[in-house]
Amino acid sequence: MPTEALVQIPPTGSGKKVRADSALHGGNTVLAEYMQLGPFMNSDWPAYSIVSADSALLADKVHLHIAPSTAMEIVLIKISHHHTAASALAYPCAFWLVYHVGATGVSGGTSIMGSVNKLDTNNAAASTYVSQIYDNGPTVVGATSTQKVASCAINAHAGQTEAILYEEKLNTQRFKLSSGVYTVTQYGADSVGSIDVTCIFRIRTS
Amino acid sequence: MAETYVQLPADSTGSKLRAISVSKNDVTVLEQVVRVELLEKATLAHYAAVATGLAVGANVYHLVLANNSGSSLLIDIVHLKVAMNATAVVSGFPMAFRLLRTTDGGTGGTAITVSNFDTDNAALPSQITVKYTVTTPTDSTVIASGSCNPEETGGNTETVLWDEKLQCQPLTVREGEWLAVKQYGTAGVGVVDVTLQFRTRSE
Repeated sequence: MPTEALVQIPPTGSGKKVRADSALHGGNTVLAEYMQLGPFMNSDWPAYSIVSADSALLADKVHLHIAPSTAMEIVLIKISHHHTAASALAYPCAFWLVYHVGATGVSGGTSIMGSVNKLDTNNAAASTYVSQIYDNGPTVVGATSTQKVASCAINAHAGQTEAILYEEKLNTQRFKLSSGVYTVTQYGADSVGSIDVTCIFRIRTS
Repeated sequence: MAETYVQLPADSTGSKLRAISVSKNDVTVLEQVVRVELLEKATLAHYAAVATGLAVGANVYHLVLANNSGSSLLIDIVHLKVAMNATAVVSGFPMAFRLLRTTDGGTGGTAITVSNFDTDNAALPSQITVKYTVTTPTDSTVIASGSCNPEETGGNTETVLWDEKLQCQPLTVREGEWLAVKQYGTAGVGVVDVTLQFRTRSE
């Protein structure tokens, strides 16, 4: 059973001051050190976002394709659905985050490397760290196998217009990509409308 | 990984650090109590700008944040949310809203009075402005996207385009930079509110 205790440090010196809260516990005046949560979390590493916009829903379509060339960490992948008119023909639609083991290439689709946004404009170009970012239905080349990492769904008819495919804060795990290709791939039905895929990632440079 | 411990010098005679004594692997060890600052970042000025009752429209810039040269401040985006409402029954469908950088502040627009989260905050320099319904700034890269459905039988009336707590990353707007919330290329139906929270800091 844990019990309240204390560590008695040397007498106060003349150096820098550590902020603390003084309170009486168990008959002793003790100090609890203040800890400030990092105001700029992970800001030591460059972070970026990429949005694949207006990607029409289509069975088995790759909506986003990412091939890292160094260790990158996924912060967030979000799917958001939109349409230009109401449709009674729409229905819930699933998306998967897929790891293509050993993949090195890509055919078709559109490179959107030039659309990668720096979350701080002082960051280096994303192409320094990422070899391929494509949308518009590319085909992954050279994969020896695939592994599904996550799944989510939106409802293209009514209701849930957004879904989170990966969220670092919710998963409380580091999701590091360092080889192969990762894709956001639609399941095997079409549904109706278009999606935007938002992907935020950082590069661990040290 | 093996759990271990660091053995401190014997207790001295100075101030006392609060700790909890627990037994781990048959060793009595102390876990120091730290007080997490509840008001994170409270030493930095924090502001809110809310634009309400905005008319939807294809490619409308519902909000533009400008950090014009000379402010001598950086802006970090804390939270940015789009919420939709209607004043009558509407036949709606999912609509997209995008957070993007622009390479200028556009023209026109209506300035929003920015609120202080702490009334002791310094007034924002004149170079930092927030406006709604700005005309044609020049688009740069899109940072994030979200969607809402104003249909009365639908759902998802709000989308969070940025939340520092979730994204775990600062989104920084330096001097001479702009940030905008832009509707996609369909007019849609309903009414839009945009809530922006941001903090300022020196380099």
